[in-house]
Amino acid sequence: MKKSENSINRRKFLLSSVLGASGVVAGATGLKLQEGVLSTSNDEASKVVYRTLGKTGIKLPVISMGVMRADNPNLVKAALAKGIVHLDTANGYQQGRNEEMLGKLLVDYPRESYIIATKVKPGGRDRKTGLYTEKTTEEDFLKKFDESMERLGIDYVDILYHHSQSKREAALYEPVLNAMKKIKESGRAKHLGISTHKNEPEIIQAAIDSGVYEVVLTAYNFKQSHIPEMNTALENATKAGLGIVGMKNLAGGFLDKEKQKPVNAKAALKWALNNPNIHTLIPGFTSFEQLDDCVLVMTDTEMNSQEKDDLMAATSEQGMYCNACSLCVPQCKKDLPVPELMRAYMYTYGYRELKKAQDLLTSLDLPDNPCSDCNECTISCVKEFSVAEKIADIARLKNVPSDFIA
Amino acid sequence: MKTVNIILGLLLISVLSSGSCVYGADVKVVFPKLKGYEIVKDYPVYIPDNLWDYINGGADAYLNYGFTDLHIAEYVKGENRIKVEVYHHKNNVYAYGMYALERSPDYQFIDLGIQGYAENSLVNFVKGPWYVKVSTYTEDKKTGDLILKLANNVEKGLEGRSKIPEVLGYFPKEEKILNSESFIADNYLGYSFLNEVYTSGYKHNDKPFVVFILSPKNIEKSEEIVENLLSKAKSSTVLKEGIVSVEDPYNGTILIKRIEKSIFGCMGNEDPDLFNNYINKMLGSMAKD
Repeated sequence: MKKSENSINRRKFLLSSVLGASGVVAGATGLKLQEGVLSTSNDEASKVVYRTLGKTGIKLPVISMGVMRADNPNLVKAALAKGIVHLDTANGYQQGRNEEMLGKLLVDYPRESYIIATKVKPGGRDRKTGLYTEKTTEEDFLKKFDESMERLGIDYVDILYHHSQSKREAALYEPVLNAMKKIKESGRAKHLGISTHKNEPEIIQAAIDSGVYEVVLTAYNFKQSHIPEMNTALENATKAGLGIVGMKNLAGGFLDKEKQKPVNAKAALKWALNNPNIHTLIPGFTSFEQLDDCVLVMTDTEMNSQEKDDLMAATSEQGMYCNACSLCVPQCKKDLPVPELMRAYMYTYGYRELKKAQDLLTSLDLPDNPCSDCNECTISCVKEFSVAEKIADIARLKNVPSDFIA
Repeated sequence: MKTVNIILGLLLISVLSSGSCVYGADVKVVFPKLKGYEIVKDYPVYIPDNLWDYINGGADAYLNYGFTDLHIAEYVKGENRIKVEVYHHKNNVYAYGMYALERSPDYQFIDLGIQGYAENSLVNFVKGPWYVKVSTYTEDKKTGDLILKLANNVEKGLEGRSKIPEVLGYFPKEEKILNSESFIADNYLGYSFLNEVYTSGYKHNDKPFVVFILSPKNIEKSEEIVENLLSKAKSSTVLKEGIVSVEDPYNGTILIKRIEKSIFGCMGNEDPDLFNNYINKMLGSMAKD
């Protein structure tokens, strides 16, 4: 029953997080005052909420721009015109075209008018272990950074990230750290950081311990299965003076596998910002409408009642999240561990953690198609799940060779 | 308007037609042998749910372009490694769109699949619903020749069209900027109502401009899109031949002309006669097809 209790605790946590938003916002209000937000003018620009990116001292609006999907320079220009100052790109986005696009348009802007971050991931990583090998070299990192700088056409980046790490050993890999330190010493990167969207608490701790990284760019959203651990890691990072940039805040943008139920973007962004240890977010907007939504969040981080309702509904989205009430168990003619199967479904489609789902399915030791000799499902789920349909869908994952699961 | 109806049918078929109806781990990609090299396939088949694990934030664009699965093999000979990544998209148009998004006009283009390009350490090409990248760390001519040979063999093993998506073939060839054709899946010009748009770059009297076309599912939808665009405009003026000049607050002047459910557009050139000439040429090409 321990697993079920965990599920319920998570749900309770999420709900209390939403319902208690006003309390968190009160904390954020304190932060606003601390950060000296200008709120005396009626001018929209003066209402922008700023937070300081740790010891870097960089004051940023709480909304920045993840440029990764944008291919329209006019959208970036509009973002800059509306008060966004921090642009986030990477060496690998659109095979370098993303940095090129930024380089071409930023020529028209004074260098001190924007903050730019890029990311470099050296080659030679062992895919299975997530660790670097002898093929990962300082030279390779430096070469890729040179490429980025040439594309961007600027003398320095404000933040250079070690891109996408999920293992402590890789985060602290000496040749990469040496390369990054050299770049900083040369003045071509003002600050160093690391990005992570898997095993984030481990990477955040590694960043704290490194003494090299000043900023962490991390996945953080209302659908993560380890929010308490994330919050602890973020608090520790902030105490250590690290700047925290949040990403993947919309958790994929949709609540259902079919992508018919979009996440309330403003609510999801505000949920992340309700944690004062998150200093800015980098939503990857691609339209002016989405930009306008982001600008609204930039000046008002407090969730309204509709946003609270939407987020609460999202956290308990019936199509994805089983609350493990276990009322279904006695209804199943085959005595299947339905809550666990629903959890595997949630891991797969909710959190995109296929390996975790497969491990769970394997541990259950069920036949390939557990429902195969039932003509009709006798379960009436309190959340109106189509239980048999979901079991048929998820059970297939068990037979995918483990090598095929990243 | 009969011609236009034919065109619109072709546009719809073009977007909907798929090079394959099998997706995910069920798709089998046969990697050809390369003399002296061992083929190592220790990567998973990536699907939309875990593409982030492989290309991080870059995955967003792929997901937007109908990515369904990615198959990877490494060719290993001693210290030499060549990686072949075969990205599978929901159809040839979306695969081409993704390829075009990452394409640089500075590359050295080659005749491979629909189109490809080669540098010392990489060969990328698109064919049917497949977008293929062959890359290595070694940058010398011998390796360059080898990966080109391998890319050719990979291409032969993939089913699918080797022709540019039909609609892009209707754009006039005169004054066209080489390799500028693209397909934008959504949010063209930063507007959420401009989706599945075909574009191509042109240069007239040394002035570059872009021509685009989209064809929503019906006339009502088309009218709605035009109304949306006009509602965003600072001003708009009806010119001639049904062409409207829209002063867009973000993108500057856009000429548009709606013919039944198709919307033709032009950015960077405000001459309605020139634009109309292009539209007529496109209509002519479509009618012949």
